[in-house]
Amino acid sequence: MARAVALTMVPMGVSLLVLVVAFYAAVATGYLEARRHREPSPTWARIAGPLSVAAHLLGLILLSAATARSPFTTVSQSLSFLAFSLAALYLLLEATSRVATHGGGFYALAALLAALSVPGLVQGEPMAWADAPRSVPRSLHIGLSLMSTAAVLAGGLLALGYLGAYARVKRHRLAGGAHGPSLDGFQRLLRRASLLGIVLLTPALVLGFRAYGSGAAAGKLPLLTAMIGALLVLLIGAFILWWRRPLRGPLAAWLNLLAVVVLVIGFGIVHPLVLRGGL
Amino acid sequence: MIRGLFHVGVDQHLAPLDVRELVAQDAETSARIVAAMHAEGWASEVALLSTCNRTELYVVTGETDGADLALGAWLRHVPGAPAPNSGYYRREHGLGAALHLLRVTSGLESAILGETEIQGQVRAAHERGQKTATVGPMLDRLFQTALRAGKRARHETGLSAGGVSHGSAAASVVRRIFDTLDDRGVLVVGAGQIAAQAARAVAEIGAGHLVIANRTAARAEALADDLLAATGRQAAVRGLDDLLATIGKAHVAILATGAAPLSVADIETAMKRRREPLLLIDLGVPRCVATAASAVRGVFLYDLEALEQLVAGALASRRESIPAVEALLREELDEFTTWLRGRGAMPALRSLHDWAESIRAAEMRWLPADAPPETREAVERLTRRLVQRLLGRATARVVKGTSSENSDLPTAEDLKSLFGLEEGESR
Repeated sequence: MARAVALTMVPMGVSLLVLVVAFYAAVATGYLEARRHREPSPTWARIAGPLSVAAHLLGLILLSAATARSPFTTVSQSLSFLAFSLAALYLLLEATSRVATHGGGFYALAALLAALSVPGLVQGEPMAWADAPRSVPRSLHIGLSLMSTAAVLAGGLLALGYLGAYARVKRHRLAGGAHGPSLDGFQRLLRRASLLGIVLLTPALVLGFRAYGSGAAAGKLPLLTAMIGALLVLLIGAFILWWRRPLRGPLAAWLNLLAVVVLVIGFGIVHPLVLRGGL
Repeated sequence: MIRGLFHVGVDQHLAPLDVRELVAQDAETSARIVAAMHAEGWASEVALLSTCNRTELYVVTGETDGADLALGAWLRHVPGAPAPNSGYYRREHGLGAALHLLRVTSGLESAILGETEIQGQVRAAHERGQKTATVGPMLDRLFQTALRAGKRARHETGLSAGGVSHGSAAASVVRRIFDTLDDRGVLVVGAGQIAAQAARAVAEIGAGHLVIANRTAARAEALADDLLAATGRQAAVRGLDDLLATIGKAHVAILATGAAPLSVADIETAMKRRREPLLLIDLGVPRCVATAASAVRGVFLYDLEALEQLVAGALASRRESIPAVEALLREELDEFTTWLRGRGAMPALRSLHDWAESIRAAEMRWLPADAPPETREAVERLTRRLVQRLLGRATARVVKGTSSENSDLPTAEDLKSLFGLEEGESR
């Protein structure tokens, strides 16, 4: 009986995870159009955004409950979880700042990540760790890594927003209408995003050592450690600049963007390992 | 069509400044004029709006030549005003008059498109009319509609976006850089009129430490007093000695003095050991800061030319919002006319209720004279509720039918025909 319920929950969860792509795309379009017309973000999009995130969460819960595994046991699931983390983080930012004018970028990236997860989810991609025994440190490591990835991506998007706003103020190109956070506001948001990245990445790193220190991926560990170490250094540098030297805002913003680049390179190393079952 | 509503007035589009000055009234005189006009008896409602650019009268009257009557009555209170046929006076009636007030309140008719002061001035005229009891149901509703439309126009469109004076443009730049100035320093160098205007606009955002530096202490103190009165913020006064150190401690520096311009090296010196950016607003002609200083890291330099570009941009952006504002005003006007049509059913409904009440009172006479007071009171209550409940649904349907022009619903005319009612007359 329980197995039958679980079997119906898988397609329901997957359907929701596929559907949210359309939701995120619609919300992103609403935000981006409003920004193009220099208008406040539309009410429907501000309501549909949280509803999409809630639907995404429900989809992840259903999938996780059905498979009795974490909602990031495959690459596709991980991408979907990453999209969810990014959108949820954006909701937190929107609730505490005037960042709504930049919501389009967040939702568009969430839609892209969620869309990339669709083929694997629909085709029933095999679990990377299907044969491996369950491991709490590994699950925690992956979950925290994905959430810190979301924080780094959010930092990158905010850094782009900051650099754009900085250039506009510097060059006197201040158009009327809704204009989003001040440079001060961006600085505060970027400080928080950088700190969140550090706070999530540090335990992820430690747990990663525990989970893979003696496994098949041990050979790649020095390289991965160097990448994550570089990421941490960049985030710490950015955080310190945002906190203590706002005058160096553009430099700090570039550090946040570099962190995104390192992250993408890191993903390029991790991804084949995951596919080969090495992680 | 709105019957009985008239508007006459002068504004910057039709009348030169000397005519506008002549007819402009302060609050007290405005109240006296509307009370006197109302007392003449030909108008059931009167309201007067007077600002520096416009003086406008709104009246409700059953007379067909209401605009001429209103203009004549008004001008009797304004000695020396140009004659009614001078071409300086705007006359509107019905929908045109209602729409005009909505346009005025939203700032579409203002000299500075989308300015916000007019909203407060319309509110004051409305309150004055309520206080003098010269505003009745129609003007009350019209002013409420206009105030709501004005608020929506400013919040839902870009009509009031950006700064359209040097001061407000400077304030809009400050808002792009700093969330708040509450714990930050604002320095004003110079104490002339343009510096005062910008300082007032920036101080309104907030200023933790406000410093006025000027060669003449007396003028700086006068500006400090002015700022204290206008914004409630205390300013420290000092001379121009060690100006670079003072700039180094400020977050926003407004410069409007004819002193020797600050070079790039000066600004770099001022920026040493700073942690936060510096906004320099240079209002001087010739400039107070070398243009190249804008390249210094963390320095945002805005001179008069840059501020004027912002003003032009803001005005252009406001103009783009006009179609959206006009659509919004049409919505509000529709809502007002719907209410007005519904109100047209009131005399017939009043007649119906009076008729029902007269029947109820007549039937109450059948109650035995020796009925105990409690019984009498209970029957009174019961019959009143019965009448109200019997007429309640019909009343609601007639109001809806009259206001919506929905042919499926009964109108006031149907009601009159069905019950043989005459307005203002109960049987």
